[in-house]
Amino acid sequence: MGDPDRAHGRHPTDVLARYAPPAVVAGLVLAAGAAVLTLRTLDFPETSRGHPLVVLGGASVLLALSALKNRQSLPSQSSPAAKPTFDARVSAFFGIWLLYPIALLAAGFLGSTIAALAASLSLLGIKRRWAWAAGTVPVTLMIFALLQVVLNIAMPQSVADRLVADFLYGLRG
Amino acid sequence: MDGALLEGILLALQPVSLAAAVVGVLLGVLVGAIPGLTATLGVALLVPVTFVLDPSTGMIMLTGVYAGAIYAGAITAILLRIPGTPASIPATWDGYPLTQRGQARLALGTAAFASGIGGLLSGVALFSLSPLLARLALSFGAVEYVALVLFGLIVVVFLLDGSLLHSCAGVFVGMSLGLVGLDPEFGFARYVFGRFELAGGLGVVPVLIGVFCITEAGRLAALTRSDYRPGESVSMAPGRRLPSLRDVRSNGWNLGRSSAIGVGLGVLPAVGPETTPFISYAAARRASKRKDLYGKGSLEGLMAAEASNNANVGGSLIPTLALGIPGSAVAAVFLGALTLQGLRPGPLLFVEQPVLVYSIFTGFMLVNLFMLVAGIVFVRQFAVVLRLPHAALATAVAFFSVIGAFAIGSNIFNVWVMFAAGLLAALLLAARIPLAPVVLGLILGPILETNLVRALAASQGDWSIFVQRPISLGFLLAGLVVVAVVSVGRLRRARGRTGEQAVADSLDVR
Repeated sequence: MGDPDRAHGRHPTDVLARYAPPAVVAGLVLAAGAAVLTLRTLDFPETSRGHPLVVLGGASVLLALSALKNRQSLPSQSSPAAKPTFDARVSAFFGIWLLYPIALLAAGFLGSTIAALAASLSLLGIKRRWAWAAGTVPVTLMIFALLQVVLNIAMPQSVADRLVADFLYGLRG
Repeated sequence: MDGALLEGILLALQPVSLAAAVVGVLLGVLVGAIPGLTATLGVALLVPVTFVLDPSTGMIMLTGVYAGAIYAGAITAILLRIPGTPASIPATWDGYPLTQRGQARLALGTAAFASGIGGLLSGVALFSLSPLLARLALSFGAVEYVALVLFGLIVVVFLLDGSLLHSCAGVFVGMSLGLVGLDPEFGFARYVFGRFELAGGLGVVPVLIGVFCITEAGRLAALTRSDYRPGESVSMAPGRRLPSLRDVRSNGWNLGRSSAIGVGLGVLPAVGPETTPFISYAAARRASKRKDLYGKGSLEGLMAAEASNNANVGGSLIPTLALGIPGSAVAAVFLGALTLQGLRPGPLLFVEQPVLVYSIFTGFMLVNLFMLVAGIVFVRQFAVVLRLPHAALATAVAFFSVIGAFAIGSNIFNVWVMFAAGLLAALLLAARIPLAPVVLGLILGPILETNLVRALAASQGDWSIFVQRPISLGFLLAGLVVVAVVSVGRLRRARGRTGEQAVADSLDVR
């Protein structure tokens, strides 16, 4: 197997570490966020302030301490495998899926899903990409039928979606 | 109660429930057999589907996914020495050597058999212990619930592997997320940022999908950069699929002990199936007459590991259903699914919905039975999932995460909550904060706050109420015992390491 995590027989959980910010930075960002929310607690009425102040205050202190502790074990992060890198492909992958809900509302389920699935598969460099891209059409139709007709989950629909849905409801009788 | 028991059993035996059990097991096996995809991810992705099914059918399907995924992690562990889920790491130690000796079928059959037995025994425990625990919990007031939740949080922090500081930070982050919404005492809106959707608090299921699934999609997408070649063929020489009757008889005590360890640890919050097989494996090895075979293809070791991780599944459902306190991260998702159905897990569930509860218990037994049979009969076919490329998996997980979050109330806001939770989870992972305490903090935080408010209102602000009530005092003392035992253990280990370091240093000087 080519994947080093797999080849060593260990659970491959550290792959994202290459793309994530360093532990100290991530810890400090979280601590700062919690501290800002703690300060907002001071605007609450006195009767509603106690519990959030303790919880968020505790979270900010503990996150800051965790970041400091991570700093002590910093040398382990300098290994080439753990060195943070920017991967345009992973970022673009998330970009597609962040745009997908917006497209879903604007263009309905079928069009946006076929486009998102095909774009995501092509972006991630799947082999025989045309076969996979073509396969997204029947897969999307099947999922649409399952969600809309079998499970009765209302999905955003364009004109084409409504026609397909009417046809499927007709088949169901 | 007997009528409800019978009705529950009959409900679980309906064709639709049986179909849900089979589908759940097959989906669980599919998820569990793919390295990296966890039981938590499988259950979280399926929760929105159960929302539209009736509660009994939906919950039976989820138990199928849960149990199937935990078992299926052993398939790749045995065939390729790649644990499908963290729970199946010990299965690599004895399963893979058996494959190397041409006994892959026997190893897979033994794993399925032991998983099925462990799961069935935990089902018996679920049937017998949950109603007792629920009956006891009916006498709990707010004071007892505060002490119970505090005990749960202490266990989460102290019994999880890794840094206490990081686990504690995780619990507080989870509890902070639980603050969103209306204050339980005066109804003041906290951290809603003008969005009415947040007034009821963060939706647990979208958050869990974000934490466990969207991060997983990112990980899988990142893996496509490596030169992983899908389609590795797995050769399985013909041979027997099941351990001999003699092997089974000689391992009766081993299976019983391992299952008991799985159930016992499963009841504790945060001690999920990824921890128990290590403990039961060590216990089996200590008690074995053939210690030399461990790690070289011992059926005994394989049975110990597999029986305990599937027994943990039933164990973790006991406090989830009886107390509303999840026994593991997966059980937390399960709890979210029940809440989504408008049900309130806890002792009152046994009073208000006894038929549903017993149908879930019966369904859980059936699920384990199906898993045992399917594991033995279809094991060769299950190995096919290894051929799926990472690009397809990443795309599928991302797609179902978005659709799953949207399907809850057909609300796009849930999708943004899911993405925000995913971003938070990525930052937490980068900061080395484990996610299980975060999830348990999110679930337990609001329970703690609501009951704390009630308890203090009843005692007119007197905090000594928590040590005046015997059950509450018992939980608090039990929490202190956990703190003391774990701290002493860690100190001893630290001293041991210091000693080893000193020896190493002295050798270095020489």
